[in-house]
Amino acid sequence: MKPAPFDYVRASDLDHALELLAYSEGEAKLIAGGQSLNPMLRLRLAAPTLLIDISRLPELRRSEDSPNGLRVGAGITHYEIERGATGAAGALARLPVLGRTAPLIGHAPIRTRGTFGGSIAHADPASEWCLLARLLDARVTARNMDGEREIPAETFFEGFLTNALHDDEILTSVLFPSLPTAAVVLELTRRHGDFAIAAVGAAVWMTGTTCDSFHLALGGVGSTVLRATAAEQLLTAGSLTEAAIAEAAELAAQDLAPSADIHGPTEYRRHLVKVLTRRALSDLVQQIEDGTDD
Amino acid sequence: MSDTEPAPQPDTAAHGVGRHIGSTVGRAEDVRLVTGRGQYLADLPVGPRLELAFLRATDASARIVHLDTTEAAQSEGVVAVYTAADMAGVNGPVPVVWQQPGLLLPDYPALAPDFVRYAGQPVAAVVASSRALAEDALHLIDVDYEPLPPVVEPLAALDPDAPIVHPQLRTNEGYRLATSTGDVATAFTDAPVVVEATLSIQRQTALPMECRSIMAQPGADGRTTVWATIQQPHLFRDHMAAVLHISTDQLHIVVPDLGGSFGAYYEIYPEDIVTVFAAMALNATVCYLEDRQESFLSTVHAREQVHRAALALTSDGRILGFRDDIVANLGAFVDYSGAGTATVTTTCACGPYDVPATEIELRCAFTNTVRVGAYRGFGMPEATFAIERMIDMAATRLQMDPVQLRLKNLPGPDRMPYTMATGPAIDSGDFPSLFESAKEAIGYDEFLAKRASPTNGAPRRRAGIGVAVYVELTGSGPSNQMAPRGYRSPGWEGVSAEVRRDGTIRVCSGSSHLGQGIRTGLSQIAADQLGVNPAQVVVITGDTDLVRHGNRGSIGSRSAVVAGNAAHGAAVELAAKIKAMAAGLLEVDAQDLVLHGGRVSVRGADEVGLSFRELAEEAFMRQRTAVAEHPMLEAISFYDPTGLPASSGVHAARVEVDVETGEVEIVDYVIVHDCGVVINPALVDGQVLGGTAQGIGGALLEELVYDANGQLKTASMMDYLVPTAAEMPTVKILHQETRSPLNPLGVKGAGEAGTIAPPAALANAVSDALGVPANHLPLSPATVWRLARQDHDVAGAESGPR
Repeated sequence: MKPAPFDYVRASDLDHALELLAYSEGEAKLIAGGQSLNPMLRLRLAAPTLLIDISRLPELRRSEDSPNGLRVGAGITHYEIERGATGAAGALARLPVLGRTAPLIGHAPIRTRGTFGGSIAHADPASEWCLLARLLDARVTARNMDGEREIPAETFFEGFLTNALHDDEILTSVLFPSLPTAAVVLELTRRHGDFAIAAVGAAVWMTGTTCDSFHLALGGVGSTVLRATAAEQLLTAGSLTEAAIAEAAELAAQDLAPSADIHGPTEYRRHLVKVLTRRALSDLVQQIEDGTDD
Repeated sequence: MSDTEPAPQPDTAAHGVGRHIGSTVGRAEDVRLVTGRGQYLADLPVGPRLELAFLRATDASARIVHLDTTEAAQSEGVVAVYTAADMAGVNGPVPVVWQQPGLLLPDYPALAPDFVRYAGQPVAAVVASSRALAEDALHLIDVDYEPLPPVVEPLAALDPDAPIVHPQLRTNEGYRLATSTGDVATAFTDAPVVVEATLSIQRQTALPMECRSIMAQPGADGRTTVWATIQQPHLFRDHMAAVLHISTDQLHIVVPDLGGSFGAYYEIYPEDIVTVFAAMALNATVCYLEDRQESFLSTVHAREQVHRAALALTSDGRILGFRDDIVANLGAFVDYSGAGTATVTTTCACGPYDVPATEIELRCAFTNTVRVGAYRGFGMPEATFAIERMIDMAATRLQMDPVQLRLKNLPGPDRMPYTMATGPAIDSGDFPSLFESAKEAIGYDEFLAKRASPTNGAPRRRAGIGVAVYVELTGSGPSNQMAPRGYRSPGWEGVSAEVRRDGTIRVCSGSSHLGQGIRTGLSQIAADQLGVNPAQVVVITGDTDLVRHGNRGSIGSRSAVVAGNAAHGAAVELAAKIKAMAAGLLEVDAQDLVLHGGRVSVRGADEVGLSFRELAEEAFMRQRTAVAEHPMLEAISFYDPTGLPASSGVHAARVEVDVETGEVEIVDYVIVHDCGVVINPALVDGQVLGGTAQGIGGALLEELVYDANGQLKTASMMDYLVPTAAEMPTVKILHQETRSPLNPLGVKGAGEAGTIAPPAALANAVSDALGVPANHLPLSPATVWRLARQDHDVAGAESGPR
């Protein structure tokens, strides 16, 4: 399991990386933590001619907490998020679901290397960060030599392991423009740290005791993270009673057709979405009642 | 993680001066290994080496219509490219050491000459200056296959219309064995209660942490040194020499530190033959380091059986008869043990129970899959799962307590030795006592009492309790009974023990180290007889030049029994030689001498004596004594088992099942284990706990899955789920010591026991929790959820939050 031959350059700064990327005309791959790319190289599922190492670029390790929202640098590792060292003071207090979700990712050695931006760019539908990005309507900042653009998470994730980045673009940061009152991520894995068979994210925005908006995102059960819009509408319109939760769970699961795999048939995964949605919403109710400022 | 009680000190007075047997002596190699100074195969400082990579079949069944290696041979760093044509005369067949009478034996070539029979079969080999360059060249080999229809499932393979894996055999049924005892027909006709079920055990693999590796280095003297991850260095040498048509003297086999084994290193593989062939052909050091993907695609798989079983009982729970129709998957060829694992399943099919009438039928099918062979437990987890599920289902039917039903049908200690329905004898054991300890440790009665009273607990989680009992027939032998069963190796093991000039003891054993601590165990055994500290005993294993009398290495939980008793015999004999020589020098009667503290001295007058160093110096220099038959202080002893010391045990598990998601949580796990006299409690605990982790993996997580085309869908550790530390419950291990009457040390094997019972105990616990039989492994969340849905209460519960 050795990769095909490739050249390797550690970019000296972001501009250098963008330049290398532009000149490689789609033949290069960016590497940061390498936790997804490395296995693909070794299985020769990916055979780039050039690896551009962006893992140490300070430009990608900047986070920011501003009135526009919470911005997380692409190069921040899962472990840094887990322990609150995101580079933005108070980030975990403003969006505590980040810190609660990070430990669900792989194992400690993976989390100390893997990066937030790398995970978003990899666009795995079972990724916890992709789930959160969709759940919270995050905005992805992409940069090339000409400048920057922002891509809403909804259009960024185009399909299974496919994103909206152009060949010459680097994902530099992700902005969470609106921080929810409470948010929950729940998933079912075969073992600790495995990819989720199904994952559910739920978030609520409230003014006082009034619910302004409800989001529900489903991971690992489609080619990208999905939003359960019918269930969201039901929950936003009504109150979080047990009956409403049960109905929302039914709605979230009803139109799904997750593909069967070695961990379970379609029917089971659909059922899990129902169970996890119900449990996530119950947890959310609990959080609101406990006054958790999520 | 392990919560253990100290083992009681064995009564060693009867057989020696011992005090080390029964005590936890640390392994000499531990400091080296945990500080990163282990010498695993890839670490060996042998200088530059060439590396091998294999082109492997992408189809499960196909004819090779075109194979051109020209371009690959010209690729950067490539030294040679081999195909079957290059290996004519030495292209296998891959040896089989246990050839059951009636077994069909297709030739398994090292490199596939014209047909490939499973996806992953080696077709060509590239030797290059690095593995990466060798892999680059693999992509330049031009190969075309004409696909043939594969057959994957063993039951499907036995269908008369199935594609035939080896057309020359004209059948996929590679082995059939039917045995019966008593009047089965009447037993079932007259039985008031008959329980029938189909049960299945999934395909698994041993998955040692270190993948298989081998390195061969030809020397100037015409001999080739081979370092390999293997369990039986002497048999490996003999078989390799036979395949390559060279003298065994031309091979020197060395086993470095091993990162696992568990049966995966049991045999000679095609890649091994190609590696040694390439090294000799190129007169260069050649190394093959299997990678993890290759490990899944070529190292033997294990388990995979379907049982259609029926148990007949009286209405008060006395077993009248047992039928089991077993279908096992062989894979595309047979492994080193032939149909050995499934054969052992038939031997253990009735468990330790008193079954007056039995009918066991086994059919083994060739399929277009990786071979199914050795893995820790070797057919016993499969048998135990089937019979122990049947017993629990019978208990449910009879509304009897499952432990009571077992005790009713188990031979008590007063009936030992007890001849099992399938033939072999259980030499010793105490099942009621095992159950008593297990019940107490797991809180069995309290659990049942608590369940009987209504609770307010969350109904989506259901608690269950399960037990399983087993016997493990260890230390295979005796030799004269093995040949008729098709073994091409005997059961004995030889051990030599000598006093070296510096006064330390050297012990050489053909039983090989594989992480189990055999060197430490043997040092304790020798130390007890020779009156030295185990640290004064150097044990040599895993080297065919240093160890003259080696045989079957470390397999089948035999090392403590066979090598242990051989070491005991050698040490006893050496002690006598020491005393005899010292008696002459000291001018006393040998009977008045004792060995203590590295000295031989007059009992009660320690100052009258000689140190081993002084004695060994004289044995060498011969200044005061004449050379007798053997000038050195050395003894060689052989031990051939006189029967099969039967280890036994009870596993008890408490689980909680989430009926909504199908997740199973192990709340408590207890093992009561009887391997006779415990030589080293820490080592036995390590064996039992490690095996139990693998058994838990087999119960809940691990499964090798093929698709209908014979493509393995789980060829990575992302998809093949072994338990990690996070999945392991706290396991409490209790020892019960029932001496084996079959050997001087009173020991029974302990290497495989841990793997045998967990699938049965956990499936029983899950069945108990759900009230629905869990008869198909592994108990994955999806499987358990499906089972839970068979229960109406649960189905109703799904409609709303609880």
